[in-house]
Parts: sequence; structure tokens; C-alpha cells
Amino acid sequence: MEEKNQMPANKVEVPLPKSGAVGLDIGTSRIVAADSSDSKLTRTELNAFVAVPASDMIEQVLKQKHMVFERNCKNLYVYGNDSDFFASFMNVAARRPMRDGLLNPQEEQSQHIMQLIVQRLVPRARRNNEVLYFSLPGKGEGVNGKLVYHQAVLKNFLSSLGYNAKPLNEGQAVVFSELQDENFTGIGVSFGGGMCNVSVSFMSMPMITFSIPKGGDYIDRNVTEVLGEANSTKVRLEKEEHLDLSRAPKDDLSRALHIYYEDVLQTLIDSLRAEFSASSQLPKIDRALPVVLAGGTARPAGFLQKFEQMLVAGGEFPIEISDVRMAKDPLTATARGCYIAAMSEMK
Amino acid sequence: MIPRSGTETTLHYSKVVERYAHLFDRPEIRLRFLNHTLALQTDCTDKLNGWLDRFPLIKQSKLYERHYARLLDLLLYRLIVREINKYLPTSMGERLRLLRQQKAPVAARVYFSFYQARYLFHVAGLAFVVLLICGLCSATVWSAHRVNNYLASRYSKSNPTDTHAGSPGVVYAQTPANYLPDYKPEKVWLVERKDNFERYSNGGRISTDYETDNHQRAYYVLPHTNGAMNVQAKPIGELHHEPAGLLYHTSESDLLPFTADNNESIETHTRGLLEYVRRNRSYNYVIDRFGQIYRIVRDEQAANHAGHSVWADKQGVYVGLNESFIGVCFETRSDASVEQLTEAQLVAGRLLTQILRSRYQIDDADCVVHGLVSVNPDNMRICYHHDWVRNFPFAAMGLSDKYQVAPVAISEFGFTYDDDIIAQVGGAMWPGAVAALAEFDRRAAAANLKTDDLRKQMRERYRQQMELARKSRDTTTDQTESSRALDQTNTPQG
Ligand SMILES: Nc1ncnc2c1ncn2[C@@H]1O[C@H](COP(=O)(O)OP(=O)(O)O)[C@@H](O)[C@H]1O
Ligand SMILES: [Mg+2]
Repeated sequence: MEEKNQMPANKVEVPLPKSGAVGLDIGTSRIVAADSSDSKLTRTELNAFVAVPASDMIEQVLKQKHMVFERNCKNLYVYGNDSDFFASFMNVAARRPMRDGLLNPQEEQSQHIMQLIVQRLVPRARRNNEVLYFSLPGKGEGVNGKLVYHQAVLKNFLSSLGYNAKPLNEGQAVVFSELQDENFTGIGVSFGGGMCNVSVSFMSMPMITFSIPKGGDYIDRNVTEVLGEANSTKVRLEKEEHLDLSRAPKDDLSRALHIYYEDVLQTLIDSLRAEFSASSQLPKIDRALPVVLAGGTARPAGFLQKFEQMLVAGGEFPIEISDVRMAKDPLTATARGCYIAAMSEMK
Repeated sequence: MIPRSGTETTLHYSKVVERYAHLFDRPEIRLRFLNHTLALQTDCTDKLNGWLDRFPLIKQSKLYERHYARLLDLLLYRLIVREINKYLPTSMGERLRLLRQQKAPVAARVYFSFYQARYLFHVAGLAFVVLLICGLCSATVWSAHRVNNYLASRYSKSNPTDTHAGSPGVVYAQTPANYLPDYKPEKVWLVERKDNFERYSNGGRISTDYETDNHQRAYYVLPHTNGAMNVQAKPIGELHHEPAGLLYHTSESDLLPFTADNNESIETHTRGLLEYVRRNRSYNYVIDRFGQIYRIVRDEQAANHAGHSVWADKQGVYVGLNESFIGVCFETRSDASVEQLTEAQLVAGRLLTQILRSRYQIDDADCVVHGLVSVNPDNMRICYHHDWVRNFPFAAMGLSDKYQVAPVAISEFGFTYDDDIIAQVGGAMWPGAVAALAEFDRRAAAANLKTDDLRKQMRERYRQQMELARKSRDTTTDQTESSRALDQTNTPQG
């Protein structure tokens, strides 16, 4: 159908789901919603907030600037995409409702704020039983017990918005969005802020899933610490804007970033090896598997080559790898995969 | 996803399934095919095993050893064919073409050719199971593989490029592309008109039992402001009399549970509604819960459905949509908790939309819902009425999503909403409304005005336009009133 708006193209803030299926990537740094497999049509909110003591004056300013916020008797909360700007404006660090891939137990507001953010991306379901898949980390070090709680809270909340909400392993979501031509057979890896997630999938079935509790935040935190920086913002910006893993580091900062990047990758590859050797119920996979990399932490130049190098350097791998590739759009791959899973259940 | 066990067996089946998977282009359909088929197969296998466990004798027999795996394969092929048939185009010819294009294994094509005989196929499968169980036959067991191979060899002998219909077992594509499932008719026409109904080429049927008269439509199309507030509110062109758009409503009448035992009471309610609507000339059309379409006020005449309302398309702005838009009312309520529209209403709504759009060349942009156009000029707020302010199935009507469109009431005329309205519409405004508010601010900034000042000016302009609309209506109401008086003796038109 042609769409003839009567207005010049408007930037619409909170589009409703179009197809009755929704994919939601709930990450430590960002929450991404997809209701189409087109990566241009996904929507993102920072999973962060800034709290300041309530005052009418600040409230006025926020209103004027059309910022997204909520007020309770004590505080004003600026959340989602505006939190970055507001944090630097107030010269404070934005806070996170999640930490290391799961709800942050140290933030008493974490659930409430996440709900506000999620609601900006996916308003209520329009029909009964609209299917929504949300991403969930795999089991791993320091995760297991908390995962149950994390999952239950999210599911509960999303159901209250009217969705038939179901969890999907984050690595598996990457497989769904990127490995259609391989009939969803291969290894999906999502390098996030809080953690990395891996799924080894055979014909759409997850055979091995796991997570490691290291990711972009781990790199930021440690580099900041070893360099004795006051806060991690500078490190993070350097990492996001200038880091090139294919070139030899030139200064202390990039040297430290290289070191912790390698640390994350090594941990991941070691875990993958270990999982392969430990799992007894794997079918004899009769082909070489592709590996797809996604997530914000996988974005620096040279990341793919680095991963390949380190994979080879470790000697023979328990299974044959056909190729390593980058997801088409690394930041939205998980959300799009969740969307595909949701669509696959539509009647 | 369906959880599943027994990954070893899956490997074997997956190979078979995989050969067919590439038929599905769309990722979600392929995922569903793989997932479903393998899950169902594992399920079947488990069931069969559980069942066989109860008959150890069978399990010990040689027959079992030899044919167990084949039986499972047979089950698998049955599943595959069933799944494929669910997702591929409905026309047999189309499917075959697709299969050939995609160089599907010969086996797949043959299975398709035989799909029409699927009941036979099932019966054969069943018979096979029976034979197996009774152990009566050990020499000539009918197996999926044999049939498969036999047919395959036979098929490959016939010339695959031969596209004449009538080759044994194969139905070729003869239907033109027009009849593919997604085909949308450009033109819908009246097929027959009887005393109390009209029938249309898309299958729509409109009952005229409750048809009645009101005054003739008359409205001006007003120019967009385009950011400059000094644009004269002079209408574009002449007074118009044809419907320019469609406006969907809810009846907000009482709804009984939609079950068979309420059948008669449901109909009684509908009759009450129809009589009320006819008396008040509230809408042009009503669609009852069984999907029957009733015409109430004739198309060329205005019904009292929209009240203070405004909408716009590329051509211009419409103020007071009674005059310019056709009112279509679904018998339902905004707060209907379970389902707002019955399946029948969805279908009927789509058909009526096609009929009216085709007859009056109505643009998609002009098909909208009451809640998105209704305003209250007294306090300059939108959403005076809020029927269909969410949940309207635009897509099911073949329309684009108007919740994404910025309402002109806000973006040009400076109407606003408040917390009460937000609460009434369910806690969040639709995206278009939010965007429109920002758009108005942008306009103010562009004109170097305070938002509130621009708002004042634009409200004044809205009032002028309302006045203009009222005048145009009054002139025609007078005319039709007198012409109706003259017509009183004539038979009502059909
Ligand atoms: N261009 C970039 N280069 C390096 N790191 C990046 C880049 N963009 C984002 N990141 C990092 O990716 C992480 C966020 O990735 P994301 O996939 O959004 O994580 P999550 O799933 O945890 O929300 C953060 O640590 C961020 O610093
Ligand atoms: Mg993520």
C-alpha cells in the first residue's frame, strides 16, 4: 500500500509494531526493538538514567528541551536516549538499570526505569497474544541463579503490556538474523557491553549456549583503572571512536585497550573450546560451521581479523569452522533475530 | 521455540528437511519450517517409540528392524509436505513453478504432484502401519522410499521443460499472475442489485434494508498553512459533493458474548442499533458482528458521524468530516476486552473499504479513524471522541497505519492534549500525535514565534474554517431539504 502522509516526512518517535510480532534486545547498554527484519526500522534506547533531586526549575528546563523524564516526590529521572546528554550536562555519570547482562541489584530503581524505557520502544500490544521475543543471556560464570529472576521479571512485565513474551538466547538470536542461508546452522556471538553471549546452533536448534561475564564495560573499567583515570568516559569514547585493533598500539591507552580486548576474546574462545569438549550430546555435525560476530563491542576496525587470528593461534579447534564474518548490522542483529523468532510463531 | 530432545536422530532427519528448506525465502518462514518439522518429527518418533514399547513382540521381529526407519521417514515426508503446503503460494501451479525454479530435489516436486492425492497417501501410510503391526506382509512392503524413487525416475524421464497441462500427475501453472494470493483488485464493481442488497465483484454484500436519506454532501477543501500563518483561508476550488475519505467508528453499543447460544440476542441487539442509527442518521454504514454490511445514509449524503473533526491529505485540509467523509461503524466497543472485531467484521471491513475506495477513488491517506480526527474547539484539545484511537487494524483493511501520521489538528492548528486525554487513550499518545506536537513547535521556531502565539493565531484560523464549513453545509442543507420535500412523492432511489 502506498503511504501518503499529509505531512512532510515526520520523525516519529515511538512507532507501534506493524506486524504483530516484536523482537526486543535487552542489553546492558542499549535496548533495541525490531518489528521488521529491516535494520533501518529498528529503534534503540540507551539503557541508562540520571537521577537528580526534584526541582521545579529543572523540570521546566527538561520540559522545554522535550526531554524524557519522570518525577516522583524525591527525584527527577531522565532516562533512555536523553540520559547521555543530561549526564554530561549535569556532569554526573549516567546510571544503569542493568549490570553485566542482568538486572542491577544495586539499583533499587532498576526495574521501574527499565519498564519506562521498554515502554518507549514497545507500547502495549495491540491484539491478544502478540508475540514478543526478548533476548536473554546464556548461563555462565556469575549468572546462573540471577538469570531466573531476571527472566521472570522481564517476562512478567512484558506480559503486563499485553504481549505473549518469550525469552530467546542472545547468541541464538544472532544466528536467526544472520544465518538463514545456512539454515540457521552455525555459531552466533554477541559482544555486548555487559557480557558476551554464544550459541552454537544446528538447524535452528541451540546445541550449546553460554555467556562470559566480560564485555565492553569490562574493558572500559579495567583500562580506566590501570591508567588511573578518574572516570571511564574518556576511555569509552577513545575505544568507540579511534580504536583500530589491526594496528599496533601507539600509546598507553590504546595499548591497554588492545590488552583487554584480547583478554575478552581469549576468554571467549577458551570457553567455546571447553564447551565443545564438555558437551556429550552434540550430534556429529557433518559440516564446517560459520561464525557470526555481532554487538557493539565487535565494532572497532580490525575486530574480525583479531578474532580470526586468535582462533587460529589456539591450535586445532574441536569443530571445523568454515568462515568468520561480521553481522550485517552488528548493533541490531540480536533484536532482528528475536523478531524473526516472533514472526515464525505468527499464525 | 519447542524444546526438543534426541539430537542424534535429528541429524538424520535434518538432512532430509534441509533439502526443502531453501524453498522458503523469508527467514521467519524458513525458521518455522525447520523448527516445526523437526519438532513434530521428534514428537512423532517419541510417540511411536512409546507405543512400540508396549508391544515388545513387534520390536523383536525382523520386520521391525528392517522397516522402522522407513516408517519414520514416511512420517517425516508427510510432515514436510504438510508444512510446505501451509506456507507456499496457494496456487498449485505457482508452487510447482517455484519448485522448479529453485531446483528442488525431484522428490519434492513429485510429492507436490501427489499432494492432491494426500488422503490416499495418508491412508497408504496408515495401511503400512497396520501391515507392519500385524506382521502379515514381509515381502512387498510399501515404503516411502520406493514410491519416492519410482516416481522420481519416472518424472525425470519426462521432459522437465515441457509445460503442457495434462502430463501425468503434474498440474502446470496456467493461472496468470493476477490471481496470486496478494493480488489486490484495482476496480471493484457492482455485480447485481436486488431489492434489499447489492453484491460486488470482491464478494462484498451490502444490505440496503435500513437505507435512508439525509442532506447532500457539500464541503470545501482548504489549503495547508505550510508554516506561514498569513495564508488566506480561501478554499481550493469549488464546493465538492463526492466522498473524499473513509472514517471508521465503534458503535459503543452493548455487546453480548459472541457465542452460538447468544445468536438471537446478538441479532436483536444489532437490529436495535440499526434502527437507532437510521433514526439519527449517525453513519453511512454499519458492520454488524456477523460481518453483514448495512448501508444507512446514502454515500452521496452526509451522516452525523464525525462532529468537530479535521483531517488532511496532500491536496488540502478537511474540516467537519460529516460532509466529506463516509462514516463506517463497526458494532463493537473501545473497551471490548477479548476481541474488538470479529473475524467476520475484519473481512467485511476490508471488502467495504475496497468497494468504497474503488468507487470514489479514495486515497489510502484519507482512510482514518474517528479518534484521530475528533477535536474539541472549545478547549482546543484533540480526542474529543476516542473511538479507534488505538488498535484499529489498518493493515487488515489494506491501509497504511494512520497512527504514524501526524494529525493536522495538532501540527497545523495547534490543538493539544493533556494528561486526561493521555489517560483516556490508554497511557500513551499514538506516535503521530507526538510527532505532530514537535512539528508544531518546529513551525513556531521557523516563524520566529512563541509556540503559544502561533497557537493563538492558528486557533483563530481554525475557527474561521469551521465557520466556512458551516456555511457551505447550510446552503446545501437548505437545497436538499427543499428538494427532498419535492421528492416525497417519488419512490426512494435504489
Ligand atoms: N564503535 C564502537 N567501538 C567499540 N565499542 C563500541 C562501539 N560502539 C559501541 N561500543 C561498545 O559496545 C558496548 C555496547 O554494545 P551493545 O551491543 O549495545 O551492548 P549490550 O547488548 O550490552 O547493550 C559498549 O561497551 C560500547 O562501549
Ligand atoms: Mg546486546
